[in-house]
Amino acid sequence: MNDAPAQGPIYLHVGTPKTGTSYLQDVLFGNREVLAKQGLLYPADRFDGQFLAALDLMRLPWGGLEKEAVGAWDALARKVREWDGPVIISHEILATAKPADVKRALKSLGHPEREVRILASVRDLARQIPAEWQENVKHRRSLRYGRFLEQIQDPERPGKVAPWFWDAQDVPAILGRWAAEVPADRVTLITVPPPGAPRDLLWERFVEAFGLGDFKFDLHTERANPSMGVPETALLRRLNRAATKVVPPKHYRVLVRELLAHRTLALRTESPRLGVPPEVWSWADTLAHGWLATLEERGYRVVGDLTDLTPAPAAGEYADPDHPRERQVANAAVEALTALLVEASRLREVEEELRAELAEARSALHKAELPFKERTKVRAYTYASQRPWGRKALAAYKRRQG
Amino acid sequence: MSDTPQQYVARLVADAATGLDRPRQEAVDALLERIAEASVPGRGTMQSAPLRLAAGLLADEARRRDPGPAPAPRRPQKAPRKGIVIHGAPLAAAATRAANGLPDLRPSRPHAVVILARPLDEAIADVWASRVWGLEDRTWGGLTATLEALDRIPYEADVAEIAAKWVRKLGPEQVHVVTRPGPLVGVTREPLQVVHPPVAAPSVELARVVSQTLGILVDHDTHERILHRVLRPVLPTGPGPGPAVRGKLQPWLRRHADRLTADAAAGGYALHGDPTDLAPRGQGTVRWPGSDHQQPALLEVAVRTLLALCEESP
Repeated sequence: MNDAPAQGPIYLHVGTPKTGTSYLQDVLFGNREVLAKQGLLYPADRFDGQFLAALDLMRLPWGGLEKEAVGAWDALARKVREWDGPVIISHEILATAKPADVKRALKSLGHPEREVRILASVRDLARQIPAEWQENVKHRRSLRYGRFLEQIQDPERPGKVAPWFWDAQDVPAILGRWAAEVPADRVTLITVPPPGAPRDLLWERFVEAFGLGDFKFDLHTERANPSMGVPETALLRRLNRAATKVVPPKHYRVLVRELLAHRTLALRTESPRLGVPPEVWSWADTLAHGWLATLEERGYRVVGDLTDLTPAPAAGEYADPDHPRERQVANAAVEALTALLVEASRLREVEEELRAELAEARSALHKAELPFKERTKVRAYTYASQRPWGRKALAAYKRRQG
Repeated sequence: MSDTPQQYVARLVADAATGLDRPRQEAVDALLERIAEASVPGRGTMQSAPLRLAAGLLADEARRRDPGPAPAPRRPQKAPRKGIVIHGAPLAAAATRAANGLPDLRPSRPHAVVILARPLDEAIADVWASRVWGLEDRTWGGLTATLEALDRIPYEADVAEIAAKWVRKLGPEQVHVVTRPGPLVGVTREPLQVVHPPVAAPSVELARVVSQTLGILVDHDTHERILHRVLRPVLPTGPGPGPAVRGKLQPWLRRHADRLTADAAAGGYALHGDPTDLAPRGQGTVRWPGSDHQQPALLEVAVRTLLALCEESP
């Protein structure tokens, strides 16, 4: 980064979900120490540190995780103010911040005295819609896809899902909130390339938008964020209907979202992919063109191409997750059950080991509590019973005792 | 709703505050400024936005009035050696102890156990309210759905199981199951006043929503302190519409009520009242305390509570 000001700018990446944000955040977190030595701060002590800060800023309950977020935003803002070089803050749920949250965030970061740049990575609605529905399903919801599509298209935004969807996806509205007091030349849109584009193109756009070209870091990350297909998502939705009443959120996160969704069902890449029906595609296309016009008018910087926001033509026939092929769902269910059986077997082995350790610890405690004479007797008995001559002697003793 | 949530809540507060004397009016004016600047926390329906805003404000206002931790006692409180144990529906048990000047800590060698029973639907509502006050974020609908799916009732509502446990410990002569509020003679020297506090769904649901925001703002101990020492005293506690078990779950409720009634009749311990008192009374009217239909009732309670806080300590 050349010609950097005295205190480097803050790159505040506010969304949107499902636009490669997890990969970006994983790379930044994994390289945070290396980047800090090169002058760039990614303030996070844990991989979800900035997520917790966002929860704190917006006072967002999140299945109990919010209890770990107390004070997280102020702590992050303090680190940012104390850092002279450039800073990156990135979390996609910041897209849903209300005007009062935005005001508090910017003020805490030192705006307007400190330069803040707002960035938003954006993708076409025809891909965002099914991706968001799937995220809802992975977070315990059992709303049918058809109902989801109705609700998000309804101008009244009924229910709980539609308001959240638009708070997180309405790009002009998101930037209207975040960039209300930021000049347009400090607002950057990063467009996700259309399907079929080179794999690295999105990363190249992130590098350009965040000015990461001069920094050296390792792009490898452990976490992949694959999507489930139609039968897998249908299965998970049905499972939610039965399971969410009886499986607490903390166990659901580990067993359903991580084990089943991410590590089992998402690996089935041959199944039909989620999409939108033709009429929804047309509606999304019309909406996207309206957004394009608004965003062009506002004069934001664009890395990529604004036309990437218009949906690409659908590839293949639409597969309705509310009416999936039952054989495909059954096959997915067998894989899911197998994964759960493997995990249950592993947990049973862990339980057995723990029981054995507990028995040993209890025995040791019992021995420690015995008076000296008793402890000596127990040691002598144990010693003798492990030797042939000792076993003979003990047997003879027992016979004499009757 | 054409108003923003901020405008809507401000209007409700201004209307409710009409006629207050000057110092209180200044506090209300300051509150109205805070309302204008406030954000809507959490996520939910569009209809719930004003309530979430009001609940967020209540959390902030309550937090401003945090009395801070009490000084540590010179000596840790010791449980009394002798006395009676009051068990069962937790709010009823706490209210009964308070009404009779009994300590919260259980005696180590009780000479009698008094188990407070309520009609099963009211006992479950009592448990729900107690858990909300215990900082648990459970909706009424979620709690009852989970219990039904597991085919269980909460332990504190299962007077037969509690009684059986104490019979094993102390013998049947020392165990008393009480099914009705009012004076109970023959267990203590003076009649024991048994209290069944009402569970008003709007107050409990509001406490739950405020608690959600408080849980994000402060640590556990501070959360507990603010909820009990600042918010609870100003929340309306009188009779109000109680939570109702919805129709789909009635077979589960009836099955467990029948079991309790039969077990209580055959328990062999002293039963003060009638086993049929354990049957659900069905007087609750609010099946979904947090639903959009309930928003006006919840907002009314929220606004009254905000103003009560302003009146208590501007």
